[in-house]
Amino acid sequence: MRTPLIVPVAIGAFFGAISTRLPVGDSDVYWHVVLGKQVLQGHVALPEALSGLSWTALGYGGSSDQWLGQALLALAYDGGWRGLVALRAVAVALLVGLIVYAAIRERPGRPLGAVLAAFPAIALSRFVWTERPELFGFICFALLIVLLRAGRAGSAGALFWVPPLIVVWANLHGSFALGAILAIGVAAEGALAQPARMRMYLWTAAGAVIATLLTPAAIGAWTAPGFHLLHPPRSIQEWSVPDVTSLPGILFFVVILATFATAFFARTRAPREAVVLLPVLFVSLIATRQTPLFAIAAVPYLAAYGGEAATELAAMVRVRLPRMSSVARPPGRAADVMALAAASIVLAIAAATGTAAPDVSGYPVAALPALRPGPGLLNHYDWGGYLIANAPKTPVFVDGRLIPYLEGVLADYTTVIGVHPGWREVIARRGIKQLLVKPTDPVAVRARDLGWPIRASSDTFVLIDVP
Amino acid sequence: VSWLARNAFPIGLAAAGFTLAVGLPTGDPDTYWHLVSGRWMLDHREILRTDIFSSTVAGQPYSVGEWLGEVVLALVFGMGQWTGLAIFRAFLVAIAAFSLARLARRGGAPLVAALLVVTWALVVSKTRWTDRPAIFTFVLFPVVLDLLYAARAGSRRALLAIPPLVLLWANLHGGYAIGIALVLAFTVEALVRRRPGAGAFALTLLASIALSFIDPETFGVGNAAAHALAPPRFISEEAPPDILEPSGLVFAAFVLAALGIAFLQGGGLLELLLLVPLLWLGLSAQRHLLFFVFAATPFIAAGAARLYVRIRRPTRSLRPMPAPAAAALALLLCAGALASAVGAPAVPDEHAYPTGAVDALRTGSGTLLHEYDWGGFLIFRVPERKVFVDGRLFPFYPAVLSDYRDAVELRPNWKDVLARYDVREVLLMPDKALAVALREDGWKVRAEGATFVLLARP
Repeated sequence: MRTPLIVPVAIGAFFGAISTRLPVGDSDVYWHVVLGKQVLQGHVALPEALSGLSWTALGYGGSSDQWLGQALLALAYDGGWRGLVALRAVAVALLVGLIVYAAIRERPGRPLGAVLAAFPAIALSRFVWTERPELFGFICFALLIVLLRAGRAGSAGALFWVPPLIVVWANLHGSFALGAILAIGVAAEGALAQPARMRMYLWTAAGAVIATLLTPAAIGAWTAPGFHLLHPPRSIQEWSVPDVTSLPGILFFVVILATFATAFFARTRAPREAVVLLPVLFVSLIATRQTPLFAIAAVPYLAAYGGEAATELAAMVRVRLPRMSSVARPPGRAADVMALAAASIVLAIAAATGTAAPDVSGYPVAALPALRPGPGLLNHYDWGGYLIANAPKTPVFVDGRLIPYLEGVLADYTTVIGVHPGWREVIARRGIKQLLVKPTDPVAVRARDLGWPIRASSDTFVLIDVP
Repeated sequence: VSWLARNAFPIGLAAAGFTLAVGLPTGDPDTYWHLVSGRWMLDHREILRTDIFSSTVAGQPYSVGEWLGEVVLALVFGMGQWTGLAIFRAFLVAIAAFSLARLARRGGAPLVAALLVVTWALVVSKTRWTDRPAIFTFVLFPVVLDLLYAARAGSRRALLAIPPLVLLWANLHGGYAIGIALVLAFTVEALVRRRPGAGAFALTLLASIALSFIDPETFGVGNAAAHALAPPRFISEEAPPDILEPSGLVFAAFVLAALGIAFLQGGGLLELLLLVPLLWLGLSAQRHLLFFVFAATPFIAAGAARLYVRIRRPTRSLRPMPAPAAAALALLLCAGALASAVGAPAVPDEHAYPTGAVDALRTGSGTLLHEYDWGGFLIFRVPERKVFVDGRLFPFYPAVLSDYRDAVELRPNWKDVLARYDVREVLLMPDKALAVALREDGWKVRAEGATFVLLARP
């Protein structure tokens, strides 16, 4: 049965439209846009000494990890914050639409059950609806899941499109590495189970590997994903360990529970699901920001077999489940086209009337006039991106790019901000002239104790001159 | 001889567990205050219900729900000092390993599969081989689980042992709620599946719940649930498990193995009722990892065995060892394990504690503010000084702990906290912001080492 697009498109458009009402102004979006503008000017991976974004990582050679994603953001930003909101809405609509499509593809005759299976993943994906290249990575991941399942089910066309997808993904965001690994795993399992399709699977696996090298950084593109996978920066909240007592953790656990329950009770055994779901679960257990991956990957499995499991479980406890209505004949292509047109209109209206300005309540806006130009500012980590975009004459000490600062800068930052032994020595050695930190940071408290001059302050920030 | 022969595998693993555990020195910060609490109860012949150790909540009522566990540990310590404690701990680990090995073979897993799974389960559990009442939960969990599986397999007599064990457990350690949860899972499964003996399970559950109230220092299931739902994350064992660390990695391997086997072979209602809640518990705090791992052990061992048979059909089965030989081997292993007790450490491992500050602390006076993790050590080693906080946690939650963190982390009101509690001395790790600030402010260094600094108000 053909998979109708009307439901995925409608649900995708609905959530895309909702996303236009959410705040915009993630701390990382600022530096992504600045780097994207450099890309649009022809400077992919501009060395730090030339870009002048920071004053502590001048030896950093620049990064091209997410150049395409950043260029997209910069292009959207040409239309101001509304442009970014519109891009995010389209991306969210695509992501949600793909999640729902993956579910309905498994049960085209029973869309309601499929949507139910997709709902936890949609809810969990809310935590990555940010205006960052990461969101594009999730779209690629959701698309890859669809392609791999279709390919394994017999569609040569789907497998053909895996390497091109990974080429695009590798240039959008570092999460491509997981996609390449999954493609290899599915291809290996498929080749063993269907030797007649060996050539197609070989293309998928080899193509996936080669695709990851088709970036400006070539093999170097694997550096960031490898680092983040094995050494996640736990001090950054989104890289912390998943917490099942928090809302995202609870949603994540609901998906795990549903997956276990389905695996236990579905009459159909599906061992090949392990090829995708086990590695993705492992990756998701590493850090909070990766939990939506498992939720997305599990959607088609839950849609395909969750009903069986629920029926079995209900029979066990002697409960009669309401029969879900089935669709005798799916709507035709004309309905799909109309749905796409309607969704475009809805998204356009929503973006035009949605959030128009960033939420800067968490940023040190009032400190900007008092910042000294040139090197010497130690800023709070979370504000690096904001300052890069809004105080270009004052290079930052650190920002959300993280990698440029691993060689000693982060250690020095931690020493000063936490008032650890030697903090004054670091200030002297680095030549720090101003501190722009949160009022509750130990260094802010200590500087006040010591009577250091305060240039500006609010509930959010304090700007202190180092005597 | 026949019992020994039948149980040669669990006995062998128990012996291995004993040998490994007996050589480990005590090092847990909570051991100290548990020992002192137990000693106090033995000396006074009453239950310790109010704080006698701290300067911050002195005289206030509290309960950690572990009076019997503390008394038992204090008795053991009284008899054998640190060596006795190490041998006792090893004995408990051996019981846990024995039960775990039996569990691993319940699904018909062959020796090799069971050995592999149990070995890794014990590796994860090593972090819980502590000299605290929590070790009783570590032991009783697999014991009760094994009894429940035995009862499910037809041995109704096994159920008789469970309510008394729950009664004991409720007085030994607050983790008894998880034992009742195990009985509940088996009872629900038996009732839903209409198994013969479902009524016996239900009676066992009711008796267990009823007996758990016979506890003069009731901690309560409500308290246990509240603790599980809102764990104090700043305590490392209460943090969610990091699967890039060794114990977390093994835990993740068990999770993936359980799910992988479920994909291949499915599962049952009991697995759902046991594994899923315990997985949530394990993911909620690393101190709970082992419950999922232990409960998953029989499922994974049996599944691995079935998988092996599917992949490679054995051409001929291994001949079992003759019973006398198996019994002799079991005895030999036990003897070897007991002999290893000569290596039990006579002193605790105190390298993480401020031992070099003890003399100075004894001659100091006034309110002392110190690292949370050192509270137990100070209660034991420097009883003349009252502690600010310690691992009992509940008496200090939330007000004192909040003040403690405000001061140590140099938050804006840190000076108010020091003034309000009239802190005269501070014993902290040298890299703590408060230690750095007080040094700068001219507080006098009374003692100092690589891991601590004792500062006195000028």
